[in-house]
Parts: sequence; C-alpha cells; structure tokens
Amino acid sequence: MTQLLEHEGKALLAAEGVAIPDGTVARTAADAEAAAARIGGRVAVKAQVPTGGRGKAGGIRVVDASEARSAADGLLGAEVRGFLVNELLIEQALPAARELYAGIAVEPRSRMPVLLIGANGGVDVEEGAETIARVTYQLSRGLRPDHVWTAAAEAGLDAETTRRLVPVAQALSRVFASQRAQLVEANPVLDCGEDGLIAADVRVVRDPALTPESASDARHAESRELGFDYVTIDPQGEVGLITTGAGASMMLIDLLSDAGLKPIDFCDIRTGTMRGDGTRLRFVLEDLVSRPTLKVIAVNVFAGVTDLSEFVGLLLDALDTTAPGVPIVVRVEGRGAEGAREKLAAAGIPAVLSPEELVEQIAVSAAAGRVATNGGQR
Amino acid sequence: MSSLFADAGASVVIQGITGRAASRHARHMQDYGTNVVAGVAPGRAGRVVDGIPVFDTVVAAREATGATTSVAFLPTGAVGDGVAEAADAGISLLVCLTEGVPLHDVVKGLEVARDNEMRVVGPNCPGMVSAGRYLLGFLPVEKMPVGGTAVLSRSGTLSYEAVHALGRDGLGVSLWIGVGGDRVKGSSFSTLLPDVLADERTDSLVIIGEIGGTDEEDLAVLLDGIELPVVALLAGSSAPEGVSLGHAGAIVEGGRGTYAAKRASLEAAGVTVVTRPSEIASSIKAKALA
Repeated sequence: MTQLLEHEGKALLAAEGVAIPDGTVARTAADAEAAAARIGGRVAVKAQVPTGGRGKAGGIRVVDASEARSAADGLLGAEVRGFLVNELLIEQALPAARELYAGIAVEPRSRMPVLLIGANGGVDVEEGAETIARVTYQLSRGLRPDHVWTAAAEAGLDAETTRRLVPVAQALSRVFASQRAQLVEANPVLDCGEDGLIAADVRVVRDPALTPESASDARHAESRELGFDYVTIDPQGEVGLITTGAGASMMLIDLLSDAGLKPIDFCDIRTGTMRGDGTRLRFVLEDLVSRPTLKVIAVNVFAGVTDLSEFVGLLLDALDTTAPGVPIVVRVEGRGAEGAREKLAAAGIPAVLSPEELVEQIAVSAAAGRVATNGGQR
Repeated sequence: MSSLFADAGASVVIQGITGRAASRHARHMQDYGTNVVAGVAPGRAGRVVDGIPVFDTVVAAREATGATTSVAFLPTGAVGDGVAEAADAGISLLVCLTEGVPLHDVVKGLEVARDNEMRVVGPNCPGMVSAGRYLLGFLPVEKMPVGGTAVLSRSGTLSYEAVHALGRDGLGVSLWIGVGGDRVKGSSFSTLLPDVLADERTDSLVIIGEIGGTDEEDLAVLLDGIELPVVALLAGSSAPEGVSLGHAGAIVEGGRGTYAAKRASLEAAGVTVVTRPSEIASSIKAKALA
C-alpha cells in the first residue's frame, strides 16, 4: 500500500517529537468502547483506510465517549472509499482555535521538495490552494528553520505560531526523507493555544517505485505479477484490447470512446519484456473470452524494439489455445511488420495499417457481433 | 544551447555498458552515427565491448576519452548515484532510460546535475535523436522520416505512432526527444523549448502529451508570441479523473492536469490540439500556410 494508515503516519511523526492527540487503535467495538471510556469526553472514531477524503466519505465520526461503541459498530466492516475498515483510531477530539496545514511533496517544476504551509487547514484546504505558501529546499541539505519562517510569513502566520511550527515542519521533513516518501502532510495541525500545535491527521504516501501501488482489481494484480498491466474499465464493454505502451493504449481507448464503442480493458502488454513467452497474451485472451458482452478483440502494437514476427507467432499460438470465437482485428507496425502481416494473412486474420483504420474495423466487427447476438447466433 | 544538442552525439559514454540491453543498443546507436567512445561498468575496467573500452567510473572514462554525453542504462537502484557521478565527472548531457527509479533518487541525482550544470533527459524515457546525426537511447529510427518537425513526448509508444504518421503524411523529424513518463524528470517540454527554437533545422513542433502533471500547461505559458507552428496530440480524453495525490498534490498542481485543462491552456496559446495521429501533419501544414 503506498499510503500509510493514519496511526502509522502519526507514530512516525510522534517519534520525531510532534504532539498528536491521545488515541488508541481498536479492532473491535468493545475495544473502541474501552478506549473511548479511558479518553473520556468527545472522541473521534476514525476509519483506518489508506486513502484521503475519509471525513467526506463518512469514515470519521465525532461523538461522546458513551456513543463510541455504536459509532465503531457502524464503521467496522463497512467500506470507505473502496477500502474495508478493519481498524479504527479512537482519539481525543480537541477544541482548536484554528487549523493549520503543513506538508512536504516534490514539486515537478523545480524538481525539488517543497514545504507547503497554510493558515487555513482542514478538509477543504486545496480549495484555497493559492493561499498556501511554498518554499523549495534541497533534499540533500534538509529543511532548515529559515525555510519555515519564509513560508509562514508568506502564509500570514504570526511569529509565535511560526516558532512552534518550525519543529513540526522539520519533523515532517525527516519523515519525508526517512520514508523516501512522495508526500507527507499534517492536516489539520490544531493550534491548541497553551497546549501548542497538535497534528490531528497525518498522511504519509510512499513512493510507488518502492512500494507498488495497490492494483485496481484482482485481475490487475495478477497481470502485475506477470509483468504487465491489464485493467478492466468497462465489464459490460464490447471491445477487448491487447495493446502496448500506456500512451498509445490510452489513445486507442479515446478513439474508440469517440466512435461510441465500449472498450473492456486498458492493456499495456509490454511487448519489450515478453521474451518469447505468450503467457501474458493467453492471460488476457482467457479473461476477455469469459465476458459475455465481448464482440471483437483488437490488437495494436507499435514495436520499437520487439520483433513483430515473433510477437505475431506468440499471438497466433495464444489464439489457437483460447479459441475466442469472436472476430480478431490486428494492427502491427514497426520492426518486422511486413513479415508479421504475412503471418497474419496466412492465418486468415486481417491486418490494418493505422490506429484510425483499426477503429473503423472494430466498429464493423462490433456491429456484426451485435446483430449475431440479437439473432441468437453466438 | 543549440551547440549542445547539435554535438551531443560526438563523444558518448554508456553507463552500464555490459548489460544485455545496453550492449545491443550501443551497436544500434553506433550504426546510426553516434560516436560511442567509452563504457562504464564498475569492476570491468580494461574490457572491450564491441570495440568500446570499458572503465570503472565515469570520471576515468572521461579522462581517457573526453566523453561529454552519457547514456545511462542503469538498474533502478543505481540511477541516483550514477546521475550524480556523471555530473561530478563533468558530463554535459545525460540521457537516463531506466524505468521505476525511486523519486528521492531522481531528486538527489538532479540536485547534483543542477550544481554542475549537467542537462538530464529522463528517467523512464526512450531517449533522443537528432535526425541523421545521432541516437541516444532506443527510439525506433530505422524508418524514421527526416524533416523539419521537432517532437517532444511524454509517451514512448504514442510518439512512435506520431512520427510514423508524420512520415506517412509527407513530413519528417528534425529532433525527437522522449522526456519520459515520470512527473519528476530532468527535462520537461518547457525546459526543452529553447533548444527546439535554437535548432536551425526545426520549422515546427509536435507535443505528445497525456493527462496528469502540468507539463503541457507550463509549456503553454511559454508559447505566447512564438511563431513556430505547434501541434499537440493529447491522450486521455476518455480517462476518468485520476486518483489524486491528496491535498498536497492538488495544491501543487492547482486543479490542472486534466484533459480539459491541458486542452484549454494549449489552445489559448495558439496550439492546435488533435486526438489522432493522422491529424498531426495536416494541422502543421495548415498552420504553416496561415
């Protein structure tokens, strides 16, 4: 999971000296009740799921300690933004004079880490994006107090608040560095007067290059294991796609959508790393064939490095194995394209020459498939 | 700046030369006219790969051969240090092909590059080519048409399609640079625009963009008042709104990054935005006549 759970992020920040609300992780309603009773007063019952926007999705409830059990019952086992809730954080709900925002991310434009400070934090902070102060710094040198003073002045914070914000921001930068994170943020940072600044929510998003992003579905997870990406975009779609390259695959989906056709999948088969093995092709074909709405399978490969003749050989073998029973339309271009087209022609599969022609051919085949289905021919 | 890109193929070192892909692509690069003078592979000094002498370090390679450009075929974990090593050794331009490089390694490598004024293209890119002069990386140049159009692309395969369509429709490429698919990278459309404008063979520009990030919007700001015909092929019009990086992502990108935002800002800057490769050449021709 690329995003840590709130309580995991808070533990990291607390270890760097930042104050966090009194709280306990609970996995049952009874544990939640006990934790709330210990804390007393108003408590926040917070679903621990690795995504933002929990509050707006109903994943956070602020109740009296006596009501914590029923709030926990409602959340445990529920789904928040697509994630099953297995854990809750039961936390003291603190009154605050105001809510601040502090975060660190990498700014693509400067290619440097950027400290983000806002005087108005909370769930809608990005709506006031232009009021957030940004100061870039060098990763190798770390975040210094002067960076925080510069950002805080720009955000309109007073000297006393800034003095207390410096260690919070530097702690964030240490977590950012040690976790090699793409994002660390404390939002809101509660200004609790004499009790100082308290990080009421913490988000740590790790680098997907180091921690693979969660797959969008089970088949996607399996395709990742095989070294490529196969994502279902419309389970009721009609056009099964076997394509390579994220950008070119995305463009073909755009063209099909513009033409009123419904692609089933986004597929980046990565021909460059297939190494003469047709496993990925069989995997995709088997899944496509299992879908009752499938009308046509389209293949589009522009090979820079891969030899297309070898690819088409693997494709024909995979088609033999899976026997899809729907029309196949293929477009291959690049290294070895002529030989590949001859192989296709010999197998009775028409090859078209451009993505635009491919879309036209898909439309014809899909329409024919619809007629056949309506006539009960399939 | 123009001289850097004009001469970038004159003296090239390949970092990671003994890898399977690197040695294969080294031959392709040489076949295209790139002067590969050295390779680097720690612990392999003294070897010769296809006539190319191998050194343990970039600095040793540079001292012995005078190499000024590096093409880095490095494993993901070695890229950060490898980029910094090349920068410290006095390399002027590095093309980094590796996919999946950890973000902090990219940031640290680029820090050292900036301190040493080394230009970086990539990571996670197919490389760059100056038509008829040199190839740095593995762009498919076998049948690449030569002409006056510079192509800058965030997507490898989509640029293959675009260049192929250009050739089919009677145009050709002067300079083709794959900037790479990562958000944080050495060169963006914006940082490369001056090089494109300074390239004497270039008479038009094609941008291959996709949803996410703000590279297209950032470029649009710089295009104001530029006479060069610019056409953009954008992918992702049908994609659902992506998973946001959360508040900080939204703040850094400020509501940009969507297909609509990119299209609007490019069109406001006078760029013709198309959705299919076959529309690129006709759009360039129409703009050149206008």
